[in-house]
Amino acid sequence: MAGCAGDQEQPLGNYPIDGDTVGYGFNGPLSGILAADGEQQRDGFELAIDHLNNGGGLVDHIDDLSGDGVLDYEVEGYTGDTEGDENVATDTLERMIDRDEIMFFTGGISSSVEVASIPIAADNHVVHGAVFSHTGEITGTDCGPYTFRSAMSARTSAEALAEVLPELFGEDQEFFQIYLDYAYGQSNRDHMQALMEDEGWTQVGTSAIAYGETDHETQINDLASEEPDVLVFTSMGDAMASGLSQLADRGFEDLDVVVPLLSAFSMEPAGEAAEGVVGTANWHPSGGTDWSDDFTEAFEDEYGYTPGQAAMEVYDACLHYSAAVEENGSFHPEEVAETLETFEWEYAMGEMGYRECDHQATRPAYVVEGVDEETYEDTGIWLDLVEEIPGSETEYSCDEEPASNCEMPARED
Amino acid sequence: MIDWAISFTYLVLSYASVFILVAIGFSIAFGSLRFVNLAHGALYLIGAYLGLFVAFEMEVGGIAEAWSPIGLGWGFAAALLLVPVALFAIGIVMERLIAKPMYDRSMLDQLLVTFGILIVVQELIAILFGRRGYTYDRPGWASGAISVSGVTSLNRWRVYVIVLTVLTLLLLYAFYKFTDIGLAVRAGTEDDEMVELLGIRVGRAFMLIFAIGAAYAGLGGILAGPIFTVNPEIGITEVLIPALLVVIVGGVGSITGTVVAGLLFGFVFVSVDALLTGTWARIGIFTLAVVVLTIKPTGLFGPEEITT
Repeated sequence: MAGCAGDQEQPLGNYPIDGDTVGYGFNGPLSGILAADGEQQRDGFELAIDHLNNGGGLVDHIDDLSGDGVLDYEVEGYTGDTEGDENVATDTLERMIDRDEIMFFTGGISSSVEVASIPIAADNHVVHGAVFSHTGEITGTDCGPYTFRSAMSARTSAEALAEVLPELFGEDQEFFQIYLDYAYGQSNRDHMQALMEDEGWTQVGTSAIAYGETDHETQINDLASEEPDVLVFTSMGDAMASGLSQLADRGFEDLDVVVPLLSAFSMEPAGEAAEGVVGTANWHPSGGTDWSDDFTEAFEDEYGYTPGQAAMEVYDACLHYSAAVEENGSFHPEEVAETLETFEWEYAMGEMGYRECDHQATRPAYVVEGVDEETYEDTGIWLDLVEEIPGSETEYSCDEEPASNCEMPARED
Repeated sequence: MIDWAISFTYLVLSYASVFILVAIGFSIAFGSLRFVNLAHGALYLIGAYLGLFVAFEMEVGGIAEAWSPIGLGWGFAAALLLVPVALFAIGIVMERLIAKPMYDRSMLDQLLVTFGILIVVQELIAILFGRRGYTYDRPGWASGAISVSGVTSLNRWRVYVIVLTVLTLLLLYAFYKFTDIGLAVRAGTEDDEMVELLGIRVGRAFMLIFAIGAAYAGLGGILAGPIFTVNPEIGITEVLIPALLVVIVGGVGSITGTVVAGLLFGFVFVSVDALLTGTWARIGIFTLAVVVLTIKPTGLFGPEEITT
């Protein structure tokens, strides 16, 4: 059978593969408030499947990939709509695993959905390419034996921002944090406090807002009493848009605002209110390696719009997983996971590589800034690239949080 | 100390005015007509979106993206005036076609039908315009901050919302207390047969009060909508749940109860948020509801008769 190697390989999860096709799954939000990024992720996924089977795009640059399937299997893509809800996400994922017998899945925006997917991947021995979701838990307390995050963690973003913010806004600044009151917001709050204080900034206060709440009046009141120079605002989507608008309505339109992770589903509703907001992204079309242009061109030819980080991450996840499979010589999930633990690659986003301790990729971070609506209408992108921070300056050791909280479970049969 | 007092009072009134605005239209239908109109959330939603398209020319998603930008661009002031009027008209149609046939049906039937309408409207809006959020780009006179004696700054629009909420409540009170139609509605709720026998067409009064409730829902959409982003889900998340809570805790049938409950919720929300966090503030509101309803199951001002 194509792709089988070694007498030691026992059946595991959906391995060995029946037939001549191998299933890859996309499990992301195609409806709901996260759909702006989810739909882009899906487009990146489908483009990757096409290029893996037929050549084109970045596949043509990668020696390990033939453009004629993976290990002589044709790749079949399966799509699930999580609606941004973890209950729906687990249902769609389990269906893809049981019915479609996928060997790999990627996609997703919501941290809670990604965290909910980790034990399912582990129980079913399916490799999980975690993208976008920022919370430290994914490669911290909730790390999983089959989950590999190629996207930034909250710590990665904070490391990048610590490099850039003093230059952008000045030394010895006083900053205030408004953050979503759950794991994602708390991760960002802790890392930003620690790293910015190391840079000589002073945190003058924090104020939590409940997840799902869009009325920031009490938080803005707290901020007003401290009179900071900079606001670190860990929020997203409509909540971020409401908060920025409410800040302007309280006379804070000129306050320097940092939102650790910026993306389309946050920028769209915010519109002009997000102009000048600084944050990070996993990729920007005008940054990365020379391959960025090739990817952008292939994507625009296929879909007629400029891709953002959402599309790139999923596309990259499919390709580097496939390259690891080719390197391993088999789709056996345990062996592929072992291969991934020390896998390094450099496609469009720059030099990247996983770590065995937490399965977090060491990788570049892109510091970006929100643009006005006129610029968006010209370029099709909500963000301008400010600076690209290489992996050597964003990485953190396995002894530091969140990695130190990861007790990597064994891959059990 | 003064700074703190002004800020606290402003915050309480700010949150309370939003609670009251989203609840008052629901209270009118539920209290006056004994009609559980969960489509109240849909009316608020329509008001918020209609306001956007009257005031601005919008780039939208969904099916309508092909015709973007969409909207009249008549300005925010025009939207403020036209949206309640439009929702009043929609309320008349809705009362005749949906509410009137359901007055004598069980509360469960009313609940299911009107909730279904809410979901249909929500999903239609999502299909037509997409699920992304939209923000009101309010003009200068309706945005920015007001400085209070150099002590603190307040959100100008929220101050207007507080004032407009008070004015509209006074109007409603006057309607119920001092007009013949208000009297007819109050009497009709007690005994509509007797009122008909006395030659008063209570059906028309009911239609009018339902339309007024719809207009208030639309007013809520155009006043409170600009504070947050507008998306298809706000009918349930931002309106229905708070409205139900406020009306039940205040006492079904009591506008006064709705106002007092709104103020209480505002006070609890701000106090708990200041002492703990926003997540606990939400818990605080629901805890308040549990406590009130445990002590007085009919709500603060009781459901037995119409009061103002």
